[in-house]
Amino acid sequence: MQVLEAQRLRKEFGPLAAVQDVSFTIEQGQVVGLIGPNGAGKTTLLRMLAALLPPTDGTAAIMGMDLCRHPLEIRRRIGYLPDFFNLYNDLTLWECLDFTARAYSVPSDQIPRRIDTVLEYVNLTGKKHDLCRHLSRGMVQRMGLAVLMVHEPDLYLLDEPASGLDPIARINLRNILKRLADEKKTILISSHILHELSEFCTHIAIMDQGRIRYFGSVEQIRELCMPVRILRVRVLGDPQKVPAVLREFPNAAVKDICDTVIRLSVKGGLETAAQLNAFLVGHGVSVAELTEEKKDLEDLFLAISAKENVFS
Amino acid sequence: MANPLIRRYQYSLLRPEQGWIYGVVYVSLVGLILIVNLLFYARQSVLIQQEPWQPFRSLFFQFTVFQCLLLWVLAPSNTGGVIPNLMLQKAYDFLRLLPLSAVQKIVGIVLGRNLLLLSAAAANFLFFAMFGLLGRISWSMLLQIALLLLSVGLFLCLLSLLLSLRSSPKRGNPFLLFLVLFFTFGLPFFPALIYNTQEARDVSFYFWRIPLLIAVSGVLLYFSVWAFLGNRRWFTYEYESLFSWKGAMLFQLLFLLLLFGFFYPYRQAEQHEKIFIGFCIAGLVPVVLLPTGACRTYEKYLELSRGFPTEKMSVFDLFRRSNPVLSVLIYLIWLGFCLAACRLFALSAAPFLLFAGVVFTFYLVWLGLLELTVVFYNTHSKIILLTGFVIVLYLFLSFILSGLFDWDYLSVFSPLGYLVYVSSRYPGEIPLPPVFPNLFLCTAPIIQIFGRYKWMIDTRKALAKVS
Repeated sequence: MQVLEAQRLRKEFGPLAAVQDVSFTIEQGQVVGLIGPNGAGKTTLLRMLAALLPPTDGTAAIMGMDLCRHPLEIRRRIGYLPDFFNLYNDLTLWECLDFTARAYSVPSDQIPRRIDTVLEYVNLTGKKHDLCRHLSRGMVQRMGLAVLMVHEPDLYLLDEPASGLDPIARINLRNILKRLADEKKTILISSHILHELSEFCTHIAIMDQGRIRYFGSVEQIRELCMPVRILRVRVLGDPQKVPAVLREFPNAAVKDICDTVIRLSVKGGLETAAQLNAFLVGHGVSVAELTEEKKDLEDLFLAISAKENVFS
Repeated sequence: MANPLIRRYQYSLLRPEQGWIYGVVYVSLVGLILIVNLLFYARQSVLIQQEPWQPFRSLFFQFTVFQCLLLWVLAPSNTGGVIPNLMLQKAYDFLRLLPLSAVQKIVGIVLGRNLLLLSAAAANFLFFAMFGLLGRISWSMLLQIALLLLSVGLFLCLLSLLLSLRSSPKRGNPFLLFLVLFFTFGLPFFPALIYNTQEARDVSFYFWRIPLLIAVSGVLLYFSVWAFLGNRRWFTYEYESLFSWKGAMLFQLLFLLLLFGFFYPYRQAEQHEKIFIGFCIAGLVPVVLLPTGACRTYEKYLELSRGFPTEKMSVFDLFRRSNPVLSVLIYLIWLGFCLAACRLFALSAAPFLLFAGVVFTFYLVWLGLLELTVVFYNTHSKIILLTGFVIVLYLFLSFILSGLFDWDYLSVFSPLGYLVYVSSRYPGEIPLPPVFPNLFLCTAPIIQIFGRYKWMIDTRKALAKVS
């Protein structure tokens, strides 16, 4: 089911085109990481999708509803977390969530249970009677997510949720996001800190100078940008025999050998890896372990940058 | 509470630990007023023989002042501070994202933010009524004053919220502004009120005589309705102008209808020509101001041009949706209404048409400068300084020159001077010379504006080709 469909979205601020002809779709359950350098247009794109900024041209449909025609209904169905925000400082966490739930028409009898659930989810149950102004930055960020979750939106739009957080707060936040991703929530999350996305994104969109340069699953983009996989093979016996054996296997080359572990670069997909395993075993190499060295988004991002020099 | 925003303020303002503090402050203030009056009366009664009801009337006026401070100063400044404070706290996006209707947001902010004040005002109304009745003020007069207090308060709250939606967040709470406004415009209300309570005044409105305070409240309620509609529009369509085209024209028409009600009873008065031209000039105020309220921005033009068929797109398509066209329509409503009024006043239309023609040339200069600002603002934001300077010069230069050369007639080259000059000489003298400099002055802006329209259309065509 299609949750978001953007068609040629464009936003101009005077002579500057912050977002230029952006088109993409997000299916239910996808977690899309929107990555790009500062000033790429990520925040503008998210604010347009949250119906906070009208597009200069193009349109988008969220849950089938046109962004320009049904902004109120769209706001009811999404949860948008801005990059810099604060909560209502004069309310306690519980009051803030109660207010939000009522504003989103959550049935009254469900509100207390829903509040307790989301507070437990973001690990702030013990703070529920504290004023929002007494929260640390990391807690505010988690509370921001709780505010979104209380009305169970169809689409989460998160703008740099980890910016300005210390490492522990960042790990806490990442765990919450991973949990949301595991529960098949649909999320579009922007960040320029790629590592924080790499663990739970199913898709990535790489944005630069207002345009989406790449959009696809992490696997697709990896295939596209980094056709060579790095495999780690742990062997029993002498690893120095392996390079000689591999000379007969096409598309594989030894990168380095460390103790009993050989790092290989292999062109091709998972089938090639399976063939390589069979080949090594067939040639008398005792393979104890064969794993793929996963590249995270940072590597992909850099690979794309190098390939197209888009971020120069 | 059905409105979540009221509930939100109920949480933050009516916490038991702070509610009693406000309660004590209010009771202390009321107690202070009563004790000071009691002591004053006890001392004064030895010196001056007073009627027994007079001290109560004095108390009534004091509670009216108190009520004014609550409803005309504190409530509007509270209301106007909501949005800037949210912006400063970076919490405004949450309010914008709430899927509440615009009406819920307006009612929630106006009532919710003023929950405490309204509670105090409700208690105050009890004292107001009690001391008013003991001070021999009639029920009818009490109700009129109460209506006036509420209608001014409502209007100021809605206006303050409206202005805050487009103001800089750095402004914060506009308490000081409302306090200054109160001391400038609010205080003269009290001598008038005291006079009015002694001798009830009526005004004529079409065929009826209505109490003065009701008339003032009615006019304020008319503006409150429009302020409410303006808020509703800006909460719903944040980037639109305050008035839609239909809204602007309806406002103009209803304003003229309302205004004419106060002039109509004098259609057969001795100086009815002067009264008629007074009506026409008063009716011009929204003609001049509405184009700024209904102003379509450059971005709006781009958005509108998206709907044009790409092949046949022309400058005319844009022009017929542009600000000057709406402004001319508003002018035509004024013209039509004034012609009808001219007939009702049994006056010749010829001098009025001459006057309206000259006024139109002044209007063209104003519209030219306004539209020039609109179409160039996105690329040259400082143009507003230039056009602002030209407007100030246009309004006052001829006044200054007429003073320098000691020649009154020169002032007719300023729009303000022209209206003042004609209002005292109508229908005998309608000066025509301002037409020529006006037509000359609006030529350059018109050329620039059409050049810019053409540029916008060409850009749209280029964009359409690219996509």
